[in-house]
Amino acid sequence: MSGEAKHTTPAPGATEAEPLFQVRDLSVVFDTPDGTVQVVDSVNLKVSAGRTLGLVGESGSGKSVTCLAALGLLASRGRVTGGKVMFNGRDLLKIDDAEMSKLRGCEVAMVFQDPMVSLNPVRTIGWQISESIFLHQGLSRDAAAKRTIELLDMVGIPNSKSRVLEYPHQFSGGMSQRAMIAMAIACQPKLLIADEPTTALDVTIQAQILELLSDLKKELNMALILITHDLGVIAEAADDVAVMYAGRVVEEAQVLDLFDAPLHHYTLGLLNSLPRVDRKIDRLSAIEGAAPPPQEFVTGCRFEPRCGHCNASCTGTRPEFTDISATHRVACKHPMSVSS
Amino acid sequence: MTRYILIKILRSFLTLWIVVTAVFFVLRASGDPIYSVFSLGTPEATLDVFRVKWGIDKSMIEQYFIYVSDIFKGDFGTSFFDGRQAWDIVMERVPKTLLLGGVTFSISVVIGVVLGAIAALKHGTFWDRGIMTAAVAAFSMPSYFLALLLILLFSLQLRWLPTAGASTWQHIILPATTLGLTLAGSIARFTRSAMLEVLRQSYMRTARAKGASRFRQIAWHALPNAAIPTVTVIGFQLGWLIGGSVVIETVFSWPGAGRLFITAVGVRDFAVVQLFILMVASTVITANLLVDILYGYLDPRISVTGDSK
Repeated sequence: MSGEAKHTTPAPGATEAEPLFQVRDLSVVFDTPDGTVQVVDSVNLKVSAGRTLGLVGESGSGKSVTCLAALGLLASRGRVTGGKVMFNGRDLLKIDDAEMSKLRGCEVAMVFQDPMVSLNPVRTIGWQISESIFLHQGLSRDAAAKRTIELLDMVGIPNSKSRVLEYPHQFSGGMSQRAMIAMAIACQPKLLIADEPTTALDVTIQAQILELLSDLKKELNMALILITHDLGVIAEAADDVAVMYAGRVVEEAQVLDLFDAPLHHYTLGLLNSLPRVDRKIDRLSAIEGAAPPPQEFVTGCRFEPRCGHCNASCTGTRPEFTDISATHRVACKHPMSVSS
Repeated sequence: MTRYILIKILRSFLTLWIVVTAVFFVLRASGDPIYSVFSLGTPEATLDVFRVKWGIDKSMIEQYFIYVSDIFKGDFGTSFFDGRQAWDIVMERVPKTLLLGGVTFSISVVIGVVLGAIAALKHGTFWDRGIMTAAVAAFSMPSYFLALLLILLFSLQLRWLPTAGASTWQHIILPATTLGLTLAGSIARFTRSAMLEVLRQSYMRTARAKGASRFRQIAWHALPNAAIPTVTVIGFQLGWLIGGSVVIETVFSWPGAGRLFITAVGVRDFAVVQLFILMVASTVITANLLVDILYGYLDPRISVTGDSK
């Protein structure tokens, strides 16, 4: 683990002294038949109440794994090898299973990518939502049922009274995701992690779900982590952004700064591959090559093999973070403003 | 759903009819029952008297129509040997067979499901390998062979358990264990694979993310899903159980319908054999029908597809 830990500057996005949720130097490995591979390498993230952190990167960059590891939800082949996950002053990696279960679904909740397979097919929607309430709030059956209907109303599911009795296969993708969100906010969590919440949905539904999430965030004053590979989603919904590439965070900024003045060549590549309405671009440029699998991560800057601006100094050692401003930092030896 | 079940029931009757017909003709093709009762030197005149009395003097087609129309009147024919109604003879034995089958079935389902679930939850560990080795050993061993092993050990060596008869409750232990081990072995294997499939589904992660305890995740989220494929398989095992009990009843001299059947086949007692097979077929068909209904109940996706259009 290298230089990142030494940083003492206030982190981007921090609006108060101690953010609600903070991942520090988190590393995760997967045990595979061919040995262990490191999929998350000293990742730092933070998010405060009432703010949305967008975690962006390609598939396999470690976004989801970072969050799953933080909540102790990794599949059995994944292991955390270092770091801290501070939530409300407690290190989530140090508390035991029983206490973690009390926290999960209550103070910290998660919404997953594909709502159609994330809901249990043999239980009614109402059963699944009221289970959260039953587990954490100890309400009576009647009170839980009433609260479930309220929650469905809150996430905009019409005919909530009859729909609680329906099964997931009777719900459309968008409605399923609303139900998942209702389940996640059932106990008014302080932190909500939404892992690609709109990826499996139609574009028109995507916008509705994002709006719902940001409304709920305001209403409940939650901290929201929005994991996505879609910069459009980031632009629409995030306050702060962390860009991940190959298991590391490469750039952190507030959302406008990131779009205005990206510093990492990877971030720029991502932005350039996005269609824009405000600029005339003849053709979209794609980043050459493909994101490497964890077995092929290089020791130096991991973007170096695909980067057009690298030189000898990029290989060998991990680039440390350079602070451009209080809220903007980049892990690159030749960031945009300097090299271009 | 009701329409779906109705079609199933109609189809069941078709199956029954085919079974009855096939058994009827195959039995008669197997030889003349007269010669399994009377010795070779018996005068033809005597034999003819009995042929008329048993109704086998008529053509096969005639016999068939008489037989089938009698079934609808509730008459399943008369035994060639003691002249009693086949129905009475078989029903006398059915309770003992139901007892053995019921005990075997319930114990194997419990043991099989529990062991299968444990193997899946401890996937890849010593427990998983141990349970699966035992399961494969149990269901690949022929049941009569397993029966002999158990008799050798528990009756001859240890002298703990009786080998034949049904007079005390100890008598059921060996036959039920023999049948049950095989059944539990295959149920454990199916439960394990169904559980493994369910455990890697996303909704299991949702349950964990919700803060459900390990027990709750398994009992309330995983098992109801794993039950869907497992129930189907267990239902099909019922036919196997009846087949197995015919052998095991004979080995342990258990006075059930299976043993009666073996004797009846040996002497070509048509009415008894036909009725036994008809009952076995009805049981298997009913079990499959129940599985279908239960399936719709366990899996909400099925009942609705049947209902909607």
